[in-house]
Amino acid sequence: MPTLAIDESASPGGPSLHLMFLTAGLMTATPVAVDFHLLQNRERIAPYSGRLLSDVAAHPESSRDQTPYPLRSFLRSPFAVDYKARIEQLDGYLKEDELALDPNSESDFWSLMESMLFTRKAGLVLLEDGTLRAIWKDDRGNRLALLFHGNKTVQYVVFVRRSDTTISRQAGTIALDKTQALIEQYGLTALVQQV
Amino acid sequence: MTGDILPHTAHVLRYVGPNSILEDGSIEIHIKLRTDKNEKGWSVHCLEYFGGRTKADQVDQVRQVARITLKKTGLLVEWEVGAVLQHLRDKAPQAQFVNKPLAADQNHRADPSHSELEGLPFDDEEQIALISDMIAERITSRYQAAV
Repeated sequence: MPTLAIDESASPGGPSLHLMFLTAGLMTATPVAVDFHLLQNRERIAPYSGRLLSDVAAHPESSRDQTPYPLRSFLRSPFAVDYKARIEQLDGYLKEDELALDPNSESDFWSLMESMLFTRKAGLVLLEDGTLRAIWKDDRGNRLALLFHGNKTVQYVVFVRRSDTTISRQAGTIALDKTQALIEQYGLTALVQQV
Repeated sequence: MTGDILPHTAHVLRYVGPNSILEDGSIEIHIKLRTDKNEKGWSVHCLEYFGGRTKADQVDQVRQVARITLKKTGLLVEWEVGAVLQHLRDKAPQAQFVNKPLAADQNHRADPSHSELEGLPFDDEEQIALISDMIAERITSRYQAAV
């Protein structure tokens, strides 16, 4: 059964961390798109390594469906660690009021992070009903806000600057897997991806 | 006075919890969806109903009459009434701020400043989300919620 391990080894530039897949004694170092500071800062990765290993051990084939913090998201999004920390912070705020994060909303957020590459970081807020909202914006007034309902749909609000004096503002609800098409439709790719 | 429409020159304040403040310090507004026309509007405090000499005095009086717990990590944010209504004129032409003072009860002081934003679309979650984001665009000032 494949398992995942996080190994530490020395390199000319100092200690670094590598992700490796161990399969029946065959060790394969796998290049992955982990955020640079993950490799450099052991203090940051340490709190997550145990969770990562336990998730995979508990759900070797279906961790994507079973955990709101799936391995694929961790590898796919350069901001996964920051997002995870932020979500925990927001959840803490809600718990002060005896409210809670909706795990289905969080799961949908991670699903989107897996499904397309966002190389610009979203701001995250948490509504009182426990749903997550991700916001990308720029200083020209362009804006994309996605509310994760937790049922594989997202409510969007888009502000698109059309001219120096005009901003088009629209809102709607779409299937989660139509998000990339929405971003392209409104010409907001540069808001979520560095070009 | 109950039912008075706030003039465009008035200023309103509302508490925003830490869960609605982005990492860069910008603020997200989330107006609760009304499913019935008769549900109360979006609550705010109108500063002009307080007689403090300074804005700081007025904000402090809002802290004293607030009926929710103001967290130190939260903020009181301010708008100018006219700027908000002007910004919403296409999406919510019926919108207006109306004074709805609250009487004192066993646990709370009287709140003469309590007002509500009325005339927003009801039972339309997407339009309310859009309007919420537009209202956030017109925030003029922010104050520490609890001191």
